[in-house]
Order: sequence, then structure tokens, then C-alpha cells
Amino acid sequence: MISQNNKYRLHAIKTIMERVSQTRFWGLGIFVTLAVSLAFSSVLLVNFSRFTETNLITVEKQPLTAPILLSVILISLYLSLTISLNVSREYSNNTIEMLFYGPVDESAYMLGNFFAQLKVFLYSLIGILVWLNLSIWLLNLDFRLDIFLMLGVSILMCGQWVAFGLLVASWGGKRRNTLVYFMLTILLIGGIQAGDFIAATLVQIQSPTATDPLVVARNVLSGINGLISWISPYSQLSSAFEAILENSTSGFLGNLVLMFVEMILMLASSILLLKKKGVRG
Amino acid sequence: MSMIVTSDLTKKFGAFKAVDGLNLRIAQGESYGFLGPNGAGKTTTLSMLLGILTPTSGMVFIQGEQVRSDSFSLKRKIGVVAEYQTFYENMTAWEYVMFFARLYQAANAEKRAEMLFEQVNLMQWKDALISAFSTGMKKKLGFIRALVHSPDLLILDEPVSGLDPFGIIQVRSLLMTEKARGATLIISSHILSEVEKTTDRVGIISRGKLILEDTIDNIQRKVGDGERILFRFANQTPDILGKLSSLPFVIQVSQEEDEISVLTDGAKDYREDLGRYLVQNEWIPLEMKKHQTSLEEVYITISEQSLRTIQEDLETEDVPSD
Repeated sequence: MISQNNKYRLHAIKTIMERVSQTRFWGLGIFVTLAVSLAFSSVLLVNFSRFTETNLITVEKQPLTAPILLSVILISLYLSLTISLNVSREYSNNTIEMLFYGPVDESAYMLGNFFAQLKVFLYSLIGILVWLNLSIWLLNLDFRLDIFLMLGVSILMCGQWVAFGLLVASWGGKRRNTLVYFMLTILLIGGIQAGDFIAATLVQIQSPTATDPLVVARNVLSGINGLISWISPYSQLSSAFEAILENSTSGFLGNLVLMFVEMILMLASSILLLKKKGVRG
Repeated sequence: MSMIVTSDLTKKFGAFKAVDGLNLRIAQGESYGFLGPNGAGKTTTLSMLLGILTPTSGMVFIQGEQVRSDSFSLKRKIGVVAEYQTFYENMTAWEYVMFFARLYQAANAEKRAEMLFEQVNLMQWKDALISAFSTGMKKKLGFIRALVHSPDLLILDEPVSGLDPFGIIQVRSLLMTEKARGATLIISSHILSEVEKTTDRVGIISRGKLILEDTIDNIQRKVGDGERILFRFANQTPDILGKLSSLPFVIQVSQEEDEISVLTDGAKDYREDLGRYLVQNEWIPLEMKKHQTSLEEVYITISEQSLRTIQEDLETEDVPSD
């Protein structure tokens, strides 16, 4: 039985969700991101098609995996950044305080924003689905039901990114801080992965001794990278896709649980952080 | 029944006590003026009433329920006009009000909003973007947002600042309508003439402490130096000042040009006694009026320097005699 207070909370979530998602649809950003991601995905698919034609060999079970992965990641990144900026702008402009004078609390505010982005993502999935069917038809690919499963699991990955955006916004507070924190986190992760790759390549070329600083650096970077890969939404989604293609139910469910837990943890942290900091910008 | 009760409400920011053991009791349907110099703790108190700030100690109850940030059912009954209001500037005024009406689940929202837009003369601007609004128009829009759900409690922080005289009259009329509807009003303002016109009772806060709380009449009597009655005579006899001074309730008599000012002890309205006395002595006044100390004069009297003394005096005066 839902208490009256929770009924009001649900109503607040719904109202905020509608306003934020409307704002997203009024802007061009989501349509541009969708178009760009599908354009890149088309390039990937055309390259695959040419490779198959030239070599007369198919190396992938599901050639649509990479295009799906690319488009859902780009859209999720866009939704994560926009919600982060949206919340921090409300904080900077103090419009968040106007909301909190009324029947809104930290959880209703964060969840309203969270579901608004997921709603936009779901609409984007329709666009991706249309593009996938068009590609299957144009390139005469095998239509497989697993693309629905892939798109379904990508909703969780988008949830992780949006929760991450909300967490950064409640951590940063003001707009500039939030943007800096968001970019720094992405660059740091990207930098560690690139550093790991470079260090591994150099170790291969130079074959140094085990005590060489290069080897130590490579081991450290590799360890951190392993951790990042474990918590990275991209790695988890990629593993989930592999599990789908290999019909591994346990692998699929394992990744699903990991993604869900991580999303909930980030979402709960963002709510608690906002509660701790207060809404006065 | 009390609409608001605060019990030993305290808010500290580090070592600084912004609000210090505040005890308020505001009745349902009452219009309460909350006064105090800058930094006295008014806005902090209002923020705690709204659950925006958590008290360091003490409690806030609205309609008997303790206020928290997630008190959804309570917050639906409150309307707020903040001193510095911010808006979603990319929305039209109508969209903005309707968004808040949905949030508060306001009944008959469209009809009510139309009435409010008409009342503050913003109807012709309802479909304009808020970014095009002037400060005064935004202030009025803030009132519409605060009132669209017909709140039981209205919290107003500097409600008329930024408004032109016509705007002030419109807002005053709006507040009177809300009061007549049964809403409780808390008005924090520096424009004391406005507080005087719209409130039944005022509380004066300084350094986080409530130092004085009463009806405006009582405060004027307590803080003002008695009551002053002014006369104008056609012909004055030279001994009139001396005769008036000899009356037991008269503290002081002075004359400025053709006006005589009689300062009484203020225990009651002495106009009738004085009138009778003058007629008995065949001094017929052309004009007699009571000079009321304005809230502004009272406020100035209660300056920061004399706050402590007044508090002590009043505490002594208020001790009940057995």
C-alpha cells in the first residue's frame, strides 16, 4: 500500500519528468546526437559490409552489435552531460529552491530528472530501431531477435550514465564546477585507458626487466584499468552483448545485476549528496 | 487552532547563531508581520518553516505536523513569494504557472490562474516568455505561482519590493482577498507601512531572538511614549497650557504655532475626558485628533542599541501579578 506522502512524491516525479523531457525534445541536441550516432553507425556497417564482400568471410555473429553499441553510448553520454548541466543550472539560477518550496524533495527532484532522460532515451531507441530495420533490409542482413535484447539492456547502461550525470551535478553544485568535474572524470578514465595501452605497447617493443619503471607503471595502469573496466558501463554493456550472442544466461544476468546495482548506488548517492548540500545555490 | 508553532527553534552557521531559541505561535487565518533589521534571522526562520533549512535544534510544526523537506502533504498547502525569485525564463508565464499548478495538483487551476492574471493585470502577457518580463512583472508572476493552488498558508518575504505603486495596490488587494478566504499570512518586509496595512500582529526579531510580539496597537502603546492628542483652538486663553498640565493623566503639554499637543499616559483614549474638560472650561476646540505612532516610528525607536533594555522592561511589565 502506497502512503499518501509517497503518492505525492510519485506525482512530483511525474511532473518534473514531463517538464524536463519536454525541454529535451524542444531542443535540437537530442536529434543532432541521434543523427550523428546513426551516421557513425552507418559508416561502421558499410565498412563491415565491404570487408565481407571483399574477403567473402563473416567474422561477426551479429554485425549490428558495434553500431548499436556506438549509438546507445553516444546518446547516453549526451543525456548524461545535459542532465548534469540542467541540474547545475537549476542550482546556479536558484530555480531548484523555488521547486523545493513546494511538494518536492531531493528524491523526487533527482528521480524526476532521471526518468525524464530515460524517457528521451526510450524515444531515441525507436529511432535506432527504425534505422536497424532499414539497414537489415538494405544490406540484406539476417534479422535476429537478439537486437531487441541488446536495445533493452542498453536502457540500463543509459540509466548508469544519467545517474552518473546527476551524481556529478550534486557534487559540483554550480554549473562551471559540474562541467569541469564531468569532463575531468571522463578525461581521467580515457587517459588511464590510453596510458595503459601505450605502456603495454612500449613494454612489448622494449622488453624491459621486471624492475624497470616502465613495467611498474604498466602494472599500476593495468590494475586501475582493470577496475575501470569492471565498473565501466561501456564494458558491462559490451559483456552483456557478448553474453547475449553466446546465449550465456548467467553472464547476461550477472552483467544486468552489476549495471543495476551501480546505477542505484550512483542515484542514491546523488540524492544523499543533494540532501547534505541543501538546495540553496 | 495554531497554523504555525515553533519551539526553541535554533539555527547555527558555524559558531554564528542566526536564529536563537525562537518560539512563535501563529493562529490559523492570522496575518503576521515578521520584522527585523538585515541579518536578524528572518529569512533563515522562513527557510526553516519551509523545510529548506534543517534547524540545528528545536522544531517547526505547521497544522500540528512537524515540517521536514519531504513533508509533501504540508508543502502542498503553502504558497511562497521569496525576496529573490527565479523563473524558468524559456517558458511563457502561462506555461510556468500551469507547471506549478500541476505540481501542487491545484483544483480548477486554469480558472484560478486566469482570475489571478486578471487581478494583477498580467493577462495580456500570459503567453509572453518570462525572459521578456520586467522585475515588477516577475514579482506579480511569483504571486500567481504562489496562489494558484489556493494555499492555506502564504509566506511572503519582501512581497512588495520591486513593485510600482499600482502593483503594490494590486498585491495588497490580492492579499486581502486571500486573508478573507481564510489563508494565514506571514509577511516579512522592510516596507513597514505595508506591514501595518496588512497584518494583525507583528513579531520583531533581532540577532535571532524574538524581542517583541504583539498587535500593532499594543506595540505602539508599549513602545510609543504614551498617546498624543492634538488640538486647534479659535481663541486661546493664556492659562490653557497650565490647566491641561494639571490633569492627572497628562504627562506633557506643548504648543507649536496654533496647535497644542497633549501627551497622555496612554492607559486609554482620553479624547472624551479632554473634550468634556475643555467644554466645561468653555474652551471650544476647532479640531481634535489622536496622533498614532506609526510602525515605522516604533521600529526606529527599537533600534539595535535599545533592544536589550526594551526587552528587559517588557519582561518586567509582563510579569503577571497574583
